[in-house]
Amino acid sequence: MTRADIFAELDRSGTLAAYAAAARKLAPLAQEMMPLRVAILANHTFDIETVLGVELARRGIAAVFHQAGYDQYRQELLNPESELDRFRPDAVLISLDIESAFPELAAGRVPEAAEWLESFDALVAAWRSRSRAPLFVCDFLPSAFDMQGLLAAGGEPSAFDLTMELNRGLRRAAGFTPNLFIVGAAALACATGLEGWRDRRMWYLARAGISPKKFPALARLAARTIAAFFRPAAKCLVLDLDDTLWGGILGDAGPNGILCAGSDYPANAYADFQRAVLALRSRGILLAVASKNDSALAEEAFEQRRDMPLRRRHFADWEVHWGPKPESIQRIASRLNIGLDSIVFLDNNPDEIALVSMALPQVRAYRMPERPEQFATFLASLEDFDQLRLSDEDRRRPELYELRNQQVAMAAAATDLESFYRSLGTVLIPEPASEANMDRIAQLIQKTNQFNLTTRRHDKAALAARMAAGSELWAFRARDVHGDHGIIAVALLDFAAGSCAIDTLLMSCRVMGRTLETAILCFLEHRAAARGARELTGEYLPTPKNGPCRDLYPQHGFRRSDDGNRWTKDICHSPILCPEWISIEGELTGCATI
Amino acid sequence: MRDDLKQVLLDVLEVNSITENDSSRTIPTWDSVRHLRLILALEERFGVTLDADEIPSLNSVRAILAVLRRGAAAA
Repeated sequence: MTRADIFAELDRSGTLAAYAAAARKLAPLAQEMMPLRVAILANHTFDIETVLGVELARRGIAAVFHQAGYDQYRQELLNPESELDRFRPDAVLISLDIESAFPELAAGRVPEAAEWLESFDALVAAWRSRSRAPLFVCDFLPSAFDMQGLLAAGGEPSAFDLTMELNRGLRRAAGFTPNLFIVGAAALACATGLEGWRDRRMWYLARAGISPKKFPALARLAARTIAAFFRPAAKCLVLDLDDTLWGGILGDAGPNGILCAGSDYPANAYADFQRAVLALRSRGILLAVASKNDSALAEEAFEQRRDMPLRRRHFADWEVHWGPKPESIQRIASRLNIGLDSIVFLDNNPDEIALVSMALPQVRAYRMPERPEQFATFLASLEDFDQLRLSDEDRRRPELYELRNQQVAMAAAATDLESFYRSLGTVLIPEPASEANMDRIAQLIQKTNQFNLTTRRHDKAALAARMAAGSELWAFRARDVHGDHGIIAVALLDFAAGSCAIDTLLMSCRVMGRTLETAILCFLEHRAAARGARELTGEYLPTPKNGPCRDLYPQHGFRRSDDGNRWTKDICHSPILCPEWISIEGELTGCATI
Repeated sequence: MRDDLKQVLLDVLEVNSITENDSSRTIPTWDSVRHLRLILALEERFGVTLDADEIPSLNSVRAILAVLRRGAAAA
């Protein structure tokens, strides 16, 4: 019988008898598990060994136990010659019963928690001075009854208050004591019905503070906590998209048809699952996508559906295509530089789970539950992400990867951009102002805000007057593989005493980011030279909207002159070169003629 | 002895054979701690609840059989 068979049989009933049977069947399989020496201390009768052994075995741990004598936990922790020390435990589990610790409760007296907590700190410190073995403390269950009766209603302290105060104190201690951890028995008992946890027969017959019928539930939590200490947590969650991260098939429904946001079922269940995924991310778990989908469409879904909790940037890696998922997961592992065994893979398709499990047995692959309302609780129940403490590095990890991705994307864009520009085959066509293009020139002068160096709103009459006085007004048309963009830029040049001043320079935002402005400046420099100018000057007059062209002049070799807004460049001294991927129609004669 | 009862006794007491004549006197592993384990396993397995005063006296297979028969008759 394999371990999986044994646990399948156990889980059919989950009774104490079934645990006893499972324990016997597991004994011969100990050598395939990690050995662990576990000491059990308690201030009451706490015979959890068999059940805990089975739950540890479920997590790959073969435990050897030392059970301390009844209520010997203080002596064991204090005495350097104790049986506990001789046992040399790897882990110590402590269970505390409130009625045993405070017998006066039965008589209706509620003591202060502080004194007990102080003495417990001393016990922990004494143990810590002799051993680094972690302590796992099951916190106090509320007492079975309270002889204060309803006095708590009038503000008197109750036995319940004492329990809560003790448990808070224990948790505080765990916060600053290395290798001290709390097993949240109280929360578990309260969530599952405290009554069943207290069996008065067992208390009076054997001083057992917790009913053994609840040992399976408690042992699961204790074993989970202990295992989390000795096993590294998974580092990365790899997710499918369709019917996992959102409801529906993106390829069929489109970005607006997928279910992932809002208050209606099942979209709200998917949104909650996404929030649960984000919660893991805030605990330092890296997120990645492995989906058979059209990558551009999936990117678009994240771009358009800003109403869903997850964003594209939350994912440290992205494998969206029609290739096999085992290969996708391998690439994710190598790019994120993590082991396959620290990856959890979730998919709604059982075939994908089977394929990944077969090809990459180290990956922890799980099929999503049947229904979306089970998704978030399913994720919460996965022990693979169990962490007992969170370091600052854990908290920062996802952001660090996000930053790295941005840098990689920018570097990739820098090399790709050039081939993109070349692929456009852009042609810049300068035209002198004329009847034919004057309306469009005037319109651009009135409308253009972002790439507009001076934002001077000259009207047609003013422009005509300037041209009559010797200024040159140029319109620029652009054409590329996609067709003719029409007139996209305007420049107005004034000439005086060996100098050419750019009064107006603007460009439509439709063609920003394609280095057309460099080609235009190159053309203007040649024009100025052709007219005999020795220097070219320009101004940048900042407005709330024209930030995009703030650095145009310094980026093209202009130097700032004294008044701050005016920029100057010597003409034909290291002339502005037209980018290789743009051709300017007509002849550039200016500099060559000098 | 019925098989389902026998299996619980074998597993909880960790023995390989048991008869109706056995008791805590004949089986060394049947100590006071194991006794409570056994009682709770039987309660759960057979859906009975035993009184505190009869639990200590159920330290033989025969006594257990009697109390389970009584439970079956009551049901």
